[in-house]
Amino acid sequence: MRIKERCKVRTVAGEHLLLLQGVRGLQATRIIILNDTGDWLFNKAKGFSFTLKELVNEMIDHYDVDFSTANQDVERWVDQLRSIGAIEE
Amino acid sequence: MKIQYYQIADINLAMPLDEDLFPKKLKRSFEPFLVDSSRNTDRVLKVTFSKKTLQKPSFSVPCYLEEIYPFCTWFGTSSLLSDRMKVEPDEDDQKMDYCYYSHHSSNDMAVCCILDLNADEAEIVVWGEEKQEPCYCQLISMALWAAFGTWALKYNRLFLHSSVTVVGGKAILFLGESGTGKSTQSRLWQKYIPRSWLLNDDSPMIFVEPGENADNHKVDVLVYGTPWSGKTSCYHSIGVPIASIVRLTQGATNQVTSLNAVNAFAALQPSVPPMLNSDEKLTDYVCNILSDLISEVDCNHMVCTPDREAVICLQQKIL
Repeated sequence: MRIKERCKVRTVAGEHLLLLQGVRGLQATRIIILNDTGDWLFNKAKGFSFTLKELVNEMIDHYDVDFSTANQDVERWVDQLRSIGAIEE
Repeated sequence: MKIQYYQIADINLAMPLDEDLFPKKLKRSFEPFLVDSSRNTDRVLKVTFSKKTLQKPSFSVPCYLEEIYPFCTWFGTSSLLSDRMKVEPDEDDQKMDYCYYSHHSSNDMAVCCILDLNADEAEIVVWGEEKQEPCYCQLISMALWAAFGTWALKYNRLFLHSSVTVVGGKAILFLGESGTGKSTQSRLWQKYIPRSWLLNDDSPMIFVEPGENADNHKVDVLVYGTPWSGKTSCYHSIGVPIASIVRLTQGATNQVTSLNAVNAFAALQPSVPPMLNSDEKLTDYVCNILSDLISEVDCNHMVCTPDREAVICLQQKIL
Protein backbone atom coordinates (compact mmCIF):
# COMPACT_ATOMS: atom_id res chain seq x y z
CA MET A 1 0.00 0.00 0.00
CA ARG A 2 0.99 3.64 -0.29
CA ILE A 3 -0.22 7.06 0.75
CA LYS A 4 -2.02 8.91 -2.03
CA GLU A 5 0.02 11.55 -3.80
CA ARG A 6 -2.28 14.46 -2.95
CA CYS A 7 -2.18 13.79 0.83
CA LYS A 8 -0.09 16.21 2.80
CA VAL A 9 0.28 16.95 6.48
CA ARG A 10 0.10 20.62 7.36
CA THR A 11 0.75 22.29 10.67
CA VAL A 12 -2.29 24.30 11.70
CA ALA A 13 -2.34 26.03 15.08
CA GLY A 14 0.39 23.65 16.27
CA GLU A 15 -1.44 20.44 15.24
CA HIS A 16 -0.51 18.03 12.45
CA LEU A 17 -3.53 17.95 10.16
CA LEU A 18 -3.84 15.51 7.32
CA LEU A 19 -6.08 16.99 4.64
CA LEU A 20 -7.60 15.06 1.81
CA GLN A 21 -9.33 17.34 -0.66
CA GLY A 22 -12.68 16.22 -2.01
CA VAL A 23 -12.66 15.20 -5.64
CA ARG A 24 -13.17 18.19 -7.95
CA GLY A 25 -14.95 20.20 -5.31
CA LEU A 26 -17.84 17.77 -5.09
CA GLN A 27 -16.95 16.15 -1.78
CA ALA A 28 -16.10 17.86 1.47
CA THR A 29 -12.46 17.92 2.50
CA ARG A 30 -11.66 15.23 5.05
CA ILE A 31 -9.34 16.01 7.92
CA ILE A 32 -7.65 13.88 10.57
CA ILE A 33 -5.36 15.04 13.36
CA LEU A 34 -2.11 13.12 13.77
CA ASN A 35 -0.17 12.99 17.02
CA ASP A 36 3.63 13.19 16.88
CA THR A 37 3.97 9.45 16.31
CA GLY A 38 1.31 9.50 13.60
CA ASP A 39 3.13 12.36 11.92
CA TRP A 40 6.44 10.46 12.17
CA LEU A 41 4.82 7.39 10.54
CA PHE A 42 3.37 9.58 7.80
CA ASN A 43 6.78 11.02 6.95
CA LYS A 44 8.30 7.52 6.90
CA ALA A 45 5.60 6.14 4.61
CA LYS A 46 4.97 9.08 2.25
CA GLY A 47 6.31 8.51 -1.22
CA PHE A 48 6.96 4.79 -0.77
CA SER A 49 5.14 1.55 -1.19
CA PHE A 50 5.02 -0.12 2.24
CA THR A 51 3.62 -3.08 4.17
CA LEU A 52 2.32 -3.10 7.74
CA LYS A 53 5.27 -5.24 8.80
CA GLU A 54 7.83 -2.77 7.39
CA LEU A 55 6.29 0.12 9.25
CA VAL A 56 6.09 -1.91 12.49
CA ASN A 57 9.80 -2.68 12.18
CA GLU A 58 10.63 0.98 11.52
CA MET A 59 8.67 1.89 14.62
CA ILE A 60 10.41 -0.68 16.81
CA ASP A 61 13.79 0.61 15.57
CA HIS A 62 12.94 4.21 16.33
CA TYR A 63 10.74 4.04 19.40
CA ASP A 64 11.27 1.95 22.50
CA VAL A 65 8.19 -0.26 22.02
CA ASP A 66 7.47 -3.99 21.88
CA PHE A 67 6.15 -5.70 18.77
CA SER A 68 2.54 -6.01 19.84
CA THR A 69 2.23 -2.32 20.81
CA ALA A 70 3.88 -1.15 17.60
CA ASN A 71 1.73 -3.52 15.55
CA GLN A 72 -1.43 -2.24 17.22
CA ASP A 73 -0.44 1.41 16.68
CA VAL A 74 0.45 0.96 13.03
CA GLU A 75 -2.77 -0.95 12.35
CA ARG A 76 -4.84 1.78 13.95
CA TRP A 77 -2.91 4.45 12.02
CA VAL A 78 -3.51 2.67 8.70
CA ASP A 79 -7.22 2.21 9.53
CA GLN A 80 -7.58 5.92 10.20
CA LEU A 81 -5.83 6.93 7.00
CA ARG A 82 -7.91 4.39 5.09
CA SER A 83 -11.11 5.83 6.59
CA ILE A 84 -10.54 9.16 4.85
CA GLY A 85 -9.37 7.50 1.66
CA ALA A 86 -5.71 8.46 2.04
CA ILE A 87 -4.35 4.99 1.22
CA GLU A 88 -4.21 3.23 -2.10
CA GLU A 89 -3.73 -0.55 -1.98
CA MET B 1 -5.11 53.52 -22.54
CA LYS B 2 -5.78 54.99 -19.11
CA ILE B 3 -5.22 52.58 -16.25
CA GLN B 4 -7.43 52.73 -13.17
CA TYR B 5 -6.21 51.62 -9.77
CA TYR B 6 -8.48 49.97 -7.25
CA GLN B 7 -7.41 49.36 -3.68
CA ILE B 8 -9.05 46.25 -2.24
CA ALA B 9 -8.01 44.94 1.18
CA ASP B 10 -5.05 47.33 1.07
CA ILE B 11 -3.58 45.72 -2.06
CA ASN B 12 -4.16 46.92 -5.59
CA LEU B 13 -5.80 45.94 -8.80
CA ALA B 14 -4.85 47.89 -11.94
CA MET B 15 -7.18 47.70 -14.93
CA PRO B 16 -7.55 49.62 -18.18
CA LEU B 17 -10.56 51.87 -18.40
CA ASP B 18 -12.04 50.26 -21.45
CA GLU B 19 -15.75 50.96 -21.89
CA ASP B 20 -15.93 48.23 -24.46
CA LEU B 21 -14.62 45.41 -22.30
CA PHE B 22 -15.35 46.43 -18.73
CA PRO B 23 -19.13 46.56 -18.30
CA LYS B 24 -20.71 49.70 -16.84
CA LYS B 25 -22.73 47.69 -14.35
CA LEU B 26 -19.55 46.23 -12.90
CA LYS B 27 -17.96 49.65 -12.62
CA ARG B 28 -20.47 50.60 -9.93
CA SER B 29 -19.26 47.86 -7.62
CA PHE B 30 -15.63 48.81 -8.19
CA GLU B 31 -16.05 52.60 -7.90
CA PRO B 32 -15.78 52.82 -4.08
CA PHE B 33 -12.33 51.20 -4.39
CA LEU B 34 -10.87 53.68 -6.90
CA VAL B 35 -7.61 55.29 -5.76
CA ASP B 36 -5.06 57.72 -7.10
CA SER B 37 -2.60 55.68 -9.14
CA SER B 38 0.45 57.72 -8.15
CA ARG B 39 0.28 56.42 -4.56
CA ASN B 40 0.26 52.79 -5.52
CA THR B 41 3.32 51.31 -7.06
CA ASP B 42 3.78 48.11 -5.08
CA ARG B 43 1.48 45.16 -4.46
CA VAL B 44 -0.38 45.65 -7.73
CA LEU B 45 -2.06 42.98 -9.81
CA LYS B 46 -2.02 44.25 -13.38
CA VAL B 47 -5.01 43.03 -15.35
CA THR B 48 -5.32 43.28 -19.10
CA PHE B 49 -8.34 42.44 -21.22
CA SER B 50 -8.01 41.00 -24.65
CA LYS B 51 -10.30 39.99 -27.42
CA LYS B 52 -7.89 37.54 -28.94
CA THR B 53 -9.52 35.09 -31.21
CA LEU B 54 -8.13 31.95 -29.75
CA GLN B 55 -9.74 28.64 -29.14
CA LYS B 56 -11.37 28.03 -25.82
CA PRO B 57 -9.13 26.05 -23.48
CA SER B 58 -9.67 22.45 -22.60
CA PHE B 59 -8.29 20.85 -19.50
CA SER B 60 -6.77 17.49 -20.23
CA VAL B 61 -6.33 16.50 -16.59
CA PRO B 62 -9.19 16.92 -14.12
CA CYS B 63 -8.48 19.90 -11.90
CA TYR B 64 -11.11 21.95 -10.15
CA LEU B 65 -14.51 21.79 -11.83
CA GLU B 66 -17.63 23.51 -10.60
CA GLU B 67 -21.03 23.36 -12.23
CA ILE B 68 -23.38 25.91 -10.77
CA TYR B 69 -26.11 26.67 -13.27
CA PRO B 70 -25.78 28.45 -15.67
CA PHE B 71 -21.98 28.48 -15.41
CA CYS B 72 -19.43 25.75 -15.77
CA THR B 73 -16.02 26.64 -14.33
CA TRP B 74 -12.55 25.10 -14.43
CA PHE B 75 -9.44 26.11 -12.54
CA GLY B 76 -5.94 24.73 -12.64
CA THR B 77 -2.29 25.34 -13.34
CA SER B 78 -1.02 25.85 -16.84
CA SER B 79 0.47 22.38 -17.00
CA LEU B 80 -3.09 21.13 -16.95
CA LEU B 81 -3.97 23.06 -20.08
CA SER B 82 -3.87 21.47 -23.45
CA ASP B 83 -1.72 23.17 -26.08
CA ARG B 84 -4.89 24.55 -27.67
CA MET B 85 -4.67 27.41 -25.17
CA LYS B 86 -1.20 28.23 -26.43
CA VAL B 87 0.24 28.64 -22.98
CA GLU B 88 3.96 28.23 -23.44
CA PRO B 89 5.55 25.54 -21.29
CA ASP B 90 7.33 26.98 -18.29
CA GLU B 91 10.94 27.65 -19.14
CA ASP B 92 11.65 28.86 -15.68
CA ASP B 93 10.46 26.71 -12.78
CA GLN B 94 9.62 29.81 -10.82
CA LYS B 95 6.93 30.79 -13.24
CA MET B 96 3.51 29.85 -11.99
CA ASP B 97 0.45 30.30 -14.14
CA TYR B 98 -3.08 29.58 -13.03
CA CYS B 99 -5.92 29.37 -15.46
CA TYR B 100 -9.56 30.07 -14.70
CA TYR B 101 -12.14 29.35 -17.35
CA SER B 102 -15.88 29.69 -17.12
CA HIS B 103 -18.59 29.44 -19.76
CA HIS B 104 -22.31 29.97 -19.86
CA SER B 105 -24.26 26.80 -20.50
CA SER B 106 -26.82 28.16 -22.95
CA ASN B 107 -24.97 30.77 -24.99
CA ASP B 108 -21.45 31.18 -26.33
CA MET B 109 -20.26 33.61 -23.66
CA ALA B 110 -17.10 32.55 -21.87
CA VAL B 111 -14.16 34.02 -20.05
CA CYS B 112 -10.63 32.80 -19.49
CA CYS B 113 -8.18 34.33 -17.07
CA ILE B 114 -4.52 33.45 -16.97
CA LEU B 115 -2.80 34.54 -13.78
CA ASP B 116 0.95 34.73 -13.53
CA LEU B 117 1.35 34.63 -9.77
CA ASN B 118 4.99 35.69 -9.71
CA ALA B 119 4.79 38.44 -12.31
CA ASP B 120 1.65 39.93 -10.70
CA GLU B 121 -0.15 39.87 -14.03
CA ALA B 122 -3.47 38.53 -15.19
CA GLU B 123 -4.86 38.42 -18.69
CA ILE B 124 -8.58 38.10 -19.24
CA VAL B 125 -9.88 36.84 -22.56
CA VAL B 126 -13.59 37.11 -23.30
CA TRP B 127 -15.88 35.50 -25.82
CA GLY B 128 -19.30 36.92 -26.57
CA GLU B 129 -20.56 40.24 -27.87
CA GLU B 130 -23.36 41.43 -25.61
CA LYS B 131 -21.24 43.52 -23.28
CA GLN B 132 -24.02 44.81 -21.04
CA GLU B 133 -25.76 41.48 -20.58
CA PRO B 134 -26.01 40.39 -16.92
CA CYS B 135 -24.26 37.09 -17.56
CA TYR B 136 -21.38 38.84 -19.34
CA CYS B 137 -20.92 41.09 -16.27
CA GLN B 138 -21.04 38.05 -14.05
CA LEU B 139 -18.38 36.22 -16.07
CA ILE B 140 -15.98 39.18 -15.92
CA SER B 141 -16.69 39.68 -12.23
CA MET B 142 -16.01 35.99 -11.49
CA ALA B 143 -12.75 36.00 -13.48
CA LEU B 144 -11.53 39.09 -11.60
CA TRP B 145 -12.59 37.51 -8.30
CA ALA B 146 -10.69 34.30 -9.09
CA ALA B 147 -7.54 36.11 -10.21
CA PHE B 148 -7.51 38.60 -7.34
CA GLY B 149 -8.41 35.95 -4.73
CA THR B 150 -5.59 33.67 -5.87
CA TRP B 151 -3.01 36.45 -6.14
CA ALA B 152 -3.98 37.97 -2.75
CA LEU B 153 -2.84 34.78 -0.98
CA LYS B 154 0.74 36.02 -1.49
CA TYR B 155 -0.08 38.94 0.78
CA ASN B 156 -1.81 36.88 3.49
CA ARG B 157 -5.25 37.78 2.30
CA LEU B 158 -8.04 35.31 1.79
CA PHE B 159 -11.64 35.46 0.57
CA LEU B 160 -13.94 33.89 3.13
CA HIS B 161 -17.48 33.20 1.92
CA SER B 162 -19.54 34.95 4.58
CA SER B 163 -21.87 37.77 5.52
CA VAL B 164 -20.19 40.43 7.66
CA THR B 165 -21.94 42.72 10.13
CA VAL B 166 -20.09 45.50 11.95
CA VAL B 167 -21.09 46.41 15.51
CA GLY B 168 -19.24 49.00 17.56
CA GLY B 169 -16.31 49.04 15.13
CA LYS B 170 -15.82 45.26 15.23
CA ALA B 171 -16.90 42.67 12.69
CA ILE B 172 -18.86 39.45 13.06
CA LEU B 173 -18.50 36.99 10.17
CA PHE B 174 -21.39 34.59 9.58
CA LEU B 175 -20.32 31.43 7.75
CA GLY B 176 -22.33 28.45 6.60
CA GLU B 177 -23.49 26.31 3.75
CA SER B 178 -25.59 27.97 1.10
CA GLY B 179 -29.10 28.58 2.44
CA THR B 180 -28.18 28.34 6.13
CA GLY B 181 -29.10 31.96 6.78
CA LYS B 182 -25.82 33.95 6.80
CA SER B 183 -27.49 37.00 5.25
CA THR B 184 -30.57 36.48 7.41
CA GLN B 185 -28.52 36.64 10.64
CA SER B 186 -26.74 39.77 9.34
CA ARG B 187 -30.09 41.41 8.58
CA LEU B 188 -31.45 40.48 12.03
CA TRP B 189 -28.47 42.20 13.66
CA GLN B 190 -29.10 45.33 11.61
CA LYS B 191 -32.76 45.24 12.58
CA TYR B 192 -32.32 44.74 16.33
CA ILE B 193 -28.89 46.16 17.18
CA PRO B 194 -28.56 49.94 16.85
CA ARG B 195 -25.74 51.25 14.63
CA SER B 196 -24.86 47.84 13.22
CA TRP B 197 -24.24 47.73 9.46
CA LEU B 198 -23.41 45.34 6.63
CA LEU B 199 -19.80 45.34 5.39
CA ASN B 200 -20.17 42.60 2.77
CA ASP B 201 -22.69 39.86 2.03
CA ASP B 202 -20.68 37.26 0.12
CA SER B 203 -16.93 37.57 -0.39
CA PRO B 204 -15.15 39.74 2.14
CA MET B 205 -11.38 39.40 2.35
CA ILE B 206 -9.57 38.66 5.60
CA PHE B 207 -6.03 39.74 6.40
CA VAL B 208 -3.83 38.33 9.13
CA GLU B 209 -0.51 39.92 9.88
CA PRO B 210 1.94 37.07 9.31
CA GLY B 211 4.85 35.82 11.31
CA GLU B 212 5.69 34.64 14.75
CA ASN B 213 4.49 37.19 17.19
CA ALA B 214 5.55 37.78 20.73
CA ASP B 215 2.81 37.26 23.30
CA ASN B 216 2.48 40.94 24.03
CA HIS B 217 2.30 41.96 20.39
CA LYS B 218 -1.26 42.45 19.20
CA VAL B 219 -1.59 40.99 15.73
CA ASP B 220 -3.73 42.74 13.14
CA VAL B 221 -6.65 40.64 12.00
CA LEU B 222 -8.96 42.52 9.69
CA VAL B 223 -11.86 41.86 7.39
CA TYR B 224 -12.25 44.07 4.32
CA GLY B 225 -15.20 44.92 2.11
CA THR B 226 -14.69 44.04 -1.57
CA PRO B 227 -16.40 44.67 -4.93
CA TRP B 228 -17.85 41.14 -4.68
CA SER B 229 -20.90 41.01 -2.43
CA GLY B 230 -23.22 38.44 -4.01
CA LYS B 231 -26.76 39.62 -4.70
CA THR B 232 -26.51 42.51 -2.24
CA SER B 233 -25.11 45.81 -3.51
CA CYS B 234 -22.83 46.53 -0.60
CA TYR B 235 -19.37 47.78 -1.50
CA HIS B 236 -17.28 49.31 1.27
CA SER B 237 -13.59 50.04 0.90
CA ILE B 238 -12.76 49.62 4.56
CA GLY B 239 -11.05 47.14 6.88
CA VAL B 240 -12.52 46.32 10.30
CA PRO B 241 -11.00 44.27 13.18
CA ILE B 242 -12.71 40.91 13.60
CA ALA B 243 -14.62 40.31 16.85
CA SER B 244 -15.83 36.81 16.06
CA ILE B 245 -16.34 34.22 13.34
CA VAL B 246 -19.56 32.22 13.64
CA ARG B 247 -20.42 29.10 11.65
CA LEU B 248 -24.18 28.67 11.47
CA THR B 249 -26.47 25.65 11.49
CA GLN B 250 -30.24 26.01 11.48
CA GLY B 251 -32.06 24.71 14.54
CA ALA B 252 -35.15 25.02 16.74
CA THR B 253 -33.34 26.78 19.60
CA ASN B 254 -30.23 28.94 19.90
CA GLN B 255 -26.91 27.74 21.20
CA VAL B 256 -23.36 29.04 20.73
CA THR B 257 -20.31 26.81 21.24
CA SER B 258 -16.68 27.98 21.26
CA LEU B 259 -14.44 26.03 18.90
CA ASN B 260 -10.93 24.85 19.65
CA ALA B 261 -8.25 25.39 17.00
CA VAL B 262 -8.79 22.17 15.07
CA ASN B 263 -12.59 22.48 15.05
CA ALA B 264 -12.24 26.13 14.07
CA PHE B 265 -10.10 25.08 11.12
CA ALA B 266 -12.73 22.51 10.09
CA ALA B 267 -15.44 25.17 10.44
CA LEU B 268 -13.61 27.78 8.34
CA GLN B 269 -12.08 25.59 5.65
CA PRO B 270 -15.35 24.91 3.74
CA SER B 271 -15.83 28.68 3.35
CA VAL B 272 -12.54 29.14 1.51
CA PRO B 273 -13.05 29.38 -2.28
CA PRO B 274 -12.85 25.68 -3.25
CA MET B 275 -10.61 26.31 -6.26
CA LEU B 276 -7.89 27.51 -3.87
CA ASN B 277 -7.87 24.04 -2.34
CA SER B 278 -7.35 22.37 -5.70
CA ASP B 279 -3.63 23.08 -5.84
CA GLU B 280 -0.94 22.16 -3.34
CA LYS B 281 0.92 25.46 -3.38
CA LEU B 282 -2.29 27.45 -2.93
CA THR B 283 -3.47 25.12 -0.16
CA ASP B 284 -0.20 25.84 1.68
CA TYR B 285 -0.99 29.56 1.58
CA VAL B 286 -4.58 28.94 2.70
CA CYS B 287 -3.56 26.72 5.63
CA ASN B 288 -0.99 29.25 6.85
CA ILE B 289 -3.50 32.10 6.75
CA LEU B 290 -6.21 30.03 8.49
CA SER B 291 -3.71 28.83 11.08
CA ASP B 292 -2.75 32.43 11.95
CA LEU B 293 -6.39 33.50 11.88
CA ILE B 294 -7.71 30.86 14.29
CA SER B 295 -4.85 31.54 16.70
CA GLU B 296 -5.99 35.14 17.00
CA VAL B 297 -9.75 35.18 16.55
CA ASP B 298 -12.67 33.82 18.56
CA CYS B 299 -14.41 31.11 16.46
CA ASN B 300 -17.82 29.70 17.30
CA HIS B 301 -20.44 27.32 16.05
CA MET B 302 -24.01 28.48 16.44
CA VAL B 303 -27.27 26.59 16.13
CA CYS B 304 -29.77 29.34 15.44
CA THR B 305 -33.35 30.34 14.69
CA PRO B 306 -34.10 33.09 12.13
CA ASP B 307 -35.34 35.61 14.70
CA ARG B 308 -34.44 38.12 17.41
CA GLU B 309 -33.67 35.36 19.94
CA ALA B 310 -30.64 34.36 17.87
CA VAL B 311 -29.27 37.90 17.95
CA ILE B 312 -29.68 38.18 21.72
CA CYS B 313 -28.09 34.77 22.29
CA LEU B 314 -24.99 35.56 20.20
CA GLN B 315 -24.70 39.09 21.56
CA GLN B 316 -24.51 37.75 25.11
CA LYS B 317 -21.87 35.25 24.14
CA ILE B 318 -19.47 37.38 22.11
CA LEU B 319 -19.88 41.07 22.93
